[in-house]
Amino acid sequence: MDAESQAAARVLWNKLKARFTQPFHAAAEALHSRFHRQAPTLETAPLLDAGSGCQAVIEHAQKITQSFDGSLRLVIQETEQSAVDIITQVRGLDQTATHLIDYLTKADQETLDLQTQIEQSTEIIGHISQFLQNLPVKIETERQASTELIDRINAIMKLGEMADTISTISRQTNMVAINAAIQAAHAGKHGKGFAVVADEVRRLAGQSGETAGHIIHAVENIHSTVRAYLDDRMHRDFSQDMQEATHVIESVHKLQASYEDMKQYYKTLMTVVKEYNMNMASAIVETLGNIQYQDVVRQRLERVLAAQTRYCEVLQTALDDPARASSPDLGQDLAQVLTDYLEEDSRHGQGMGDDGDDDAPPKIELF
Amino acid sequence: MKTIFLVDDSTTMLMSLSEVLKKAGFQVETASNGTDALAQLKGGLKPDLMITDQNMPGLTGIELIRETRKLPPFRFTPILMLTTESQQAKRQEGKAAGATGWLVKPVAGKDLLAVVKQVLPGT
Repeated sequence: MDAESQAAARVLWNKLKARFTQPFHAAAEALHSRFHRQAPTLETAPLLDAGSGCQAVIEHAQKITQSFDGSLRLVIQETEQSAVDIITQVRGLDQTATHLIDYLTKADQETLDLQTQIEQSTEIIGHISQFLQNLPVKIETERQASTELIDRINAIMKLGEMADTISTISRQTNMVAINAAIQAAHAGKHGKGFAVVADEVRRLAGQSGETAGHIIHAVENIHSTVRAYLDDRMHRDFSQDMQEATHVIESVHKLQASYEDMKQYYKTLMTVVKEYNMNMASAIVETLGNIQYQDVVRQRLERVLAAQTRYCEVLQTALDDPARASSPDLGQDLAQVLTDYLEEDSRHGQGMGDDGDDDAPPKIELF
Repeated sequence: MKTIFLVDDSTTMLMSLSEVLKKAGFQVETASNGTDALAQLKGGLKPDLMITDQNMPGLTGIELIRETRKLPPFRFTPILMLTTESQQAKRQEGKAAGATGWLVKPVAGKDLLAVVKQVLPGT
């Protein structure tokens, strides 16, 4: 093998090797430019002599290529398996997110129900609060009613006065009866009957005075008892009711404030969690979209594999026909393998690297 | 619920795109090659949209579109090509076969959903 042929073979080999060791998008560009620089040499120069080392070199090249084939196929399998694993894991993540959304939706509904209940309770409590706020007025009304009662008691007290009058009349009647008895005594036997009547009148007057005294005493007792009871009850009930009303109103206000705080807290919590969940759902969609790169890489590797297979087939023709090893045809066939590969590769998008290419056709086109 | 028919020989493509579309509320049916896809269409599957790869064993994507357009129920069904192929000539071939649009892999999930919503109004 002459030096030129060895150099050409090395260049070709390096080109293919570069495809496996460099990132795909960078490798494509490098290989493309190298090809255009080296292609004339490859097409015109005989690649191998029919010398003694020729066959060994070809066999060696085939073995290396086949070894690369195996590695590339393994890469395809492993990346595919990894992609499937990622999808499965992301699906699990998505299911968790979906469960969370379901839970939040349910919780949201329950919160709405709770909110309705709270609003209803607040309304009821508002009524109670209003009632309690009006309670002092009611108590005052009751107090006035009690005062009326006292007035009536006072009216009863007039009975005492009436009894006083009866008592006075009774005393005066008694005096008149005594005088009548004296006059009856002066009248002798003619005044005897009159004296009996006078005694009877005096006795009745005494009884009337005594009864009037009992009435006055009883009325006074009733008055003092009722008055004392009403005063005590009014004082005790009014202050106690006012105290309780104040406590209840304060509690109601606190309760309303707590409800509002809780409602606001829950609302904020739901908003935040929902936002995070939506971001996560969006990230899941993007992650799943990125899995497509595995297919893009797979197809690129399969094009490399196809080129390698053709490369080995061309080399095999040199092994089968030693005369071809020294023929320019071998070099041309190998160059054609590369040309075909690059043309095929150029028909496909460059995946991760083609977003910034202004001349490239749009990635999305609707007809 | 609208049904989307995914046709691709890549397991990962079918799995990942199915998840994206299902998450967006679509029902998804799949086929791993053009021949199987055509059989499903002839067998009664009535998708609202078909998304197909180009390079597959058996029928290619463009061949599948040609055959699908021959079937009366699918004369106007939107069909999107989703492929690594990006050359203009191939796009024109797809358009002539009856493709509704051309998407070059990989397409971001949100971009894919935007296109789907564009060709499926009301979704």
